[in-house]
Amino acid sequence: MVMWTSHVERLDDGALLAAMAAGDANAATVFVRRHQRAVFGLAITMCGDPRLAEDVSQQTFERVWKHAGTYDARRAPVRAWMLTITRRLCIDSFRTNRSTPIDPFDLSALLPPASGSVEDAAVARAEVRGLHDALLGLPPEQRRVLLQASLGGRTAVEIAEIEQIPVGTVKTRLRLALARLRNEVRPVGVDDV
Amino acid sequence: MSEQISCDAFEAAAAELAFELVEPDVRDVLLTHAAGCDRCRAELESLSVTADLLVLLAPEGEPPIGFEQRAVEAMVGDRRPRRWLALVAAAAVLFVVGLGIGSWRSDDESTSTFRQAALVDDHGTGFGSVSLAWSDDVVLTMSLKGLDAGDYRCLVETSDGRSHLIATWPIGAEGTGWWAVPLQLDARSVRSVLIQDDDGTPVASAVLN
Repeated sequence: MVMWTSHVERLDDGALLAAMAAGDANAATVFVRRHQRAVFGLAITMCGDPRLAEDVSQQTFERVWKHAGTYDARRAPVRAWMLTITRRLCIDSFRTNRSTPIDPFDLSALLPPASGSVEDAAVARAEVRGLHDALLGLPPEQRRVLLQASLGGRTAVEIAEIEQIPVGTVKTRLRLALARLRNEVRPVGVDDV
Repeated sequence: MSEQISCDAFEAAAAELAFELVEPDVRDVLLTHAAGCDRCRAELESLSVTADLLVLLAPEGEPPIGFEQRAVEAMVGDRRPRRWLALVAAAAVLFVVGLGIGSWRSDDESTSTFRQAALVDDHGTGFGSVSLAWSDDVVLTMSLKGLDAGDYRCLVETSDGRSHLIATWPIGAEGTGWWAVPLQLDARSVRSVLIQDDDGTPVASAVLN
């Protein structure tokens, strides 16, 4: 072991990734402990199947371990980077294994993450607060389409079938909603903490 | 979709592409267009950044009992420690320098400890933090932020008054970077960590002892 777990717990997420890239198993333990609820939460939201969600969650952490050295802080906070991996794995997985996905439209469930490192949690809170507010400001029909595409991982064709609207309408709503969010939410980088 | 598409057609599909929800053949056509169109490429990049942030809205969930242990075992396996050459080859932004083999061992395991301090300049402006941890190995972990783009040198000062050049790290336009560096030094002798710019001008320091 390179560093003791109790010591590693004090590191921010970026430093944890650096330690993981250097092969530190204790950093991996702390990273999983810090983020497992967020990863599993997204996976179960998208997949709707606990066993599939666990598989996806485990694969997420394996990829984080494998690719820790490629994290690009310019693009997203660590948590968003990690959850993007989870989302991609979910999409890959439920294309062939989809059972009963959870309805992602319930905004009451979209609460800011409660756990995480002090530094990254501050980033995440700022990101989530801005996103949440911007999302609530969207017309309901745009919000539904956006959430189905994002947390539902559904294509425009699938959304059109669910909503019983033309595919072109889905594409338009999705484009307008995402562009509006982009304009209203300034990404918060680690520099801002 | 034809092989050649207009900017309007790209724009209509850009959001779906940002969410990575388009079929591979359509994706290829869209990315081909973006590669040759600065405006559409910038549009896709900005939409993708926002799309990626939306995952932060997902509710948290309690994983099954034992998940943490299973996940860590799956991650670490028997592949550690990895060697620095492979890491440097893979690293694009986050640079891991010198995965050497820490040679220092404490004579008394009970003395193993951890220190952490802020990196500040003469005016008290913060530039991140530095952590020193040791048990079997001595590891210096750096979190740098707020720096101008350029190369920076990291030096460690020990109690005998000597300065040890540890590494030189590049900082990009984003001004941030993280490194974990095994030290070939007695951790108890480390007094401070200095960050200098490429010309040797002091930028920030952290007092650890």
